[in-house]
Amino acid sequence: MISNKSFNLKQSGIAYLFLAPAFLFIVVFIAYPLVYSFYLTFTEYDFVYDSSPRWAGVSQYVSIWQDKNFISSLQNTIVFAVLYYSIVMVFSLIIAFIIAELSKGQTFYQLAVYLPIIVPLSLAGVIFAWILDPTFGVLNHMLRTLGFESLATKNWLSDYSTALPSIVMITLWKYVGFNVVIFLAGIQGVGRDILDAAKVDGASFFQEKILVVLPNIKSYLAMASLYSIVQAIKVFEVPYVTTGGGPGTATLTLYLYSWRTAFGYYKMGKAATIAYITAVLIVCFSVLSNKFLEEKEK
Amino acid sequence: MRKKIAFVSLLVVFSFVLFSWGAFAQEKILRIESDEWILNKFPVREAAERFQKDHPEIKVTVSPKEYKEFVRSYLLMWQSDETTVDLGIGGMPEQLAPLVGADLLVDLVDVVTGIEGIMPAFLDTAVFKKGEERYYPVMPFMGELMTLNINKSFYADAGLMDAEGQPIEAENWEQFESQLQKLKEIAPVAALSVDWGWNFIFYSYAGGIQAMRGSIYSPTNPQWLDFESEAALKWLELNQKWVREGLAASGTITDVNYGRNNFNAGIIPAIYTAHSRFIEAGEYLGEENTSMVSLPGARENGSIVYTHAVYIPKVSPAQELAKQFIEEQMFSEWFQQWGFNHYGKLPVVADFYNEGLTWYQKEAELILETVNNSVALPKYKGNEMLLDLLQEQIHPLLLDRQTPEETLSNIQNEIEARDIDMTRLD
Repeated sequence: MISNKSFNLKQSGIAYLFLAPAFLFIVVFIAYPLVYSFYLTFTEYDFVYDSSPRWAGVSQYVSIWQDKNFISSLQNTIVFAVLYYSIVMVFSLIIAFIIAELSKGQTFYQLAVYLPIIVPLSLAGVIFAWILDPTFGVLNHMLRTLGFESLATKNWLSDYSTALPSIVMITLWKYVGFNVVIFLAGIQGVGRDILDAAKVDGASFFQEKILVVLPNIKSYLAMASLYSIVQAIKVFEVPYVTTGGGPGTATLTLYLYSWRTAFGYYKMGKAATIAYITAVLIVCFSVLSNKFLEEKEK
Repeated sequence: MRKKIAFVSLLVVFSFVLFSWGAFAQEKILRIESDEWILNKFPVREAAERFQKDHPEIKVTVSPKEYKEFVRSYLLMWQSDETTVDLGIGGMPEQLAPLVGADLLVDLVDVVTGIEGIMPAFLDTAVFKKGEERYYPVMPFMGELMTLNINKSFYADAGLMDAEGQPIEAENWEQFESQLQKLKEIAPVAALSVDWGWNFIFYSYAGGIQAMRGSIYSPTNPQWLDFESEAALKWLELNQKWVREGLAASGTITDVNYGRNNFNAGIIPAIYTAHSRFIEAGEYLGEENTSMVSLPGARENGSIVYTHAVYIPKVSPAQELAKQFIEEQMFSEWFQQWGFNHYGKLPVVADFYNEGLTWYQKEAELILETVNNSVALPKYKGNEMLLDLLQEQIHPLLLDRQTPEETLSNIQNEIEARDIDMTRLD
């Protein structure tokens, strides 16, 4: 007869055996790189000229604040994040409300706004670089046709005032659909009885949406919010493809700068430091966003 | 019976071993990896076939580089003592500097000295230093010259052709500017586009200075690129003024192909960039409609040349084969002239500028003359950082956000502030 104890041991042994491949994968491809790159932040390591990393304590975390490019990229990332986050949340919510109100063709419109998500971001960057081209671009051609001659000669991606907003627009085009689908799922899940009760109580269209629907889709808002924050702060592909961080450093973002420092300058310690600061920024913004939504709930 | 079985078994085993060893011993393999654009613009595959025909015991494979950022992947691969490539083709020597810095490339000095007549300006692009000793871890196989590529139709319409139907070369910068003004009157966008994008900013910046003063080095620190002379200041002032007045376009700041595309489309009359652009544009605008002229001073003082190179990793088991391929194929007259005759890429051997060049002979003469006066850019340990710094400072200058004086002073200060390593590798 097998005792309960040995049966449990055997059972848990089998469980561990099944878990082992996943555990191994996590250790090798996630945990180890995370720990090692964190260690790199305390070193100076020129990948070309140094044979191994040299311990430098917290000097990377101190000296990084003297680097003008880091400050520029931090500012650009925050401006991008604030612009992108505000617009993507509001805009996709409005689109979701409109689609939810439609009596016909909901699936079509849902699909239409979601479709850009299947286009790789780097490809979207290339397409928009063509659309925004000052001479051959469709945008300037349309502006010229509509009579906006002064705007029609603008070089959208080479101009300091329009380069970053252009990148925000391209990223929006790509990701709005994702948020719309999340919000729609939430809106369609709000009980008919609650909405009817609001109507009976005399709520207007906007009151119904803001005071009744929004509080009921809080978890969806939180999910979309977190996703948007992460997307906003780790912005990389679009500036990489369209502007290369220029003009000057007008569109240099943290991830782009980290990538350039690692694989252009081969300064691995500094690059890892920038990446970790970016990660801290994502965590801070996410906590803030969650706090804000929790406050609202109270 | 047992003995028989054992004998037969041993026979089979020995035959198998002998056959396998023989097969391996017989077939030598040379693996070539090249930039994709080079495979399109040079007959590398045909050269491989010719090489195999001449040496039937050698198998040559040619494939495009798997990654755009190939230097990084080669670094990782070769530092791990592994390689999928015996001969790398493509990459400018300064771009390949990390591979040189990590001491991963074979010294090609024996190949370089074995080939007669390589033009010194092109050879200078590939020289590196180990202590005081000069060596060639990379070897240039094609060249480019920074020059003014022009659309002759615009020049004719603006009255800028001489009696022989050749474009008039401006003798000084005042005359050059007045030519731009004439061209601007008939050009839809701008008269000129200078390649200020990341891929050409070094060459464009240094090219103007070399034309003006015959040197690209600082008057006070001969190891440094010039960020302080009157010529440097004037070159920046002129470019800022031209963009401000609409004589020059600034599109190359973010779109590196802006000038090239607009030139090919017949919209911009002149672009300052690599000479092969006017030959490429001949395909769209007609051979008779494109040409080149020198910037004021460049005929006497020269311009900037750059090259693409070949290189052999130290971990390659086929180093001698790779050298043999370079000597027999890539430096053959046929291979070198093919690049010019199809895409305007310059042969690096002076003797190959002969009747074998089937088009643009007049321009080829001017190119040869200018290349002989021209110089290669210095190679610094902190090249990539310096490149980014130039973009960060020259782009705002062109868009009128800072003065030329501020630009030069910022560049000097930031080299120090960012601790950019200006140690020369050449």
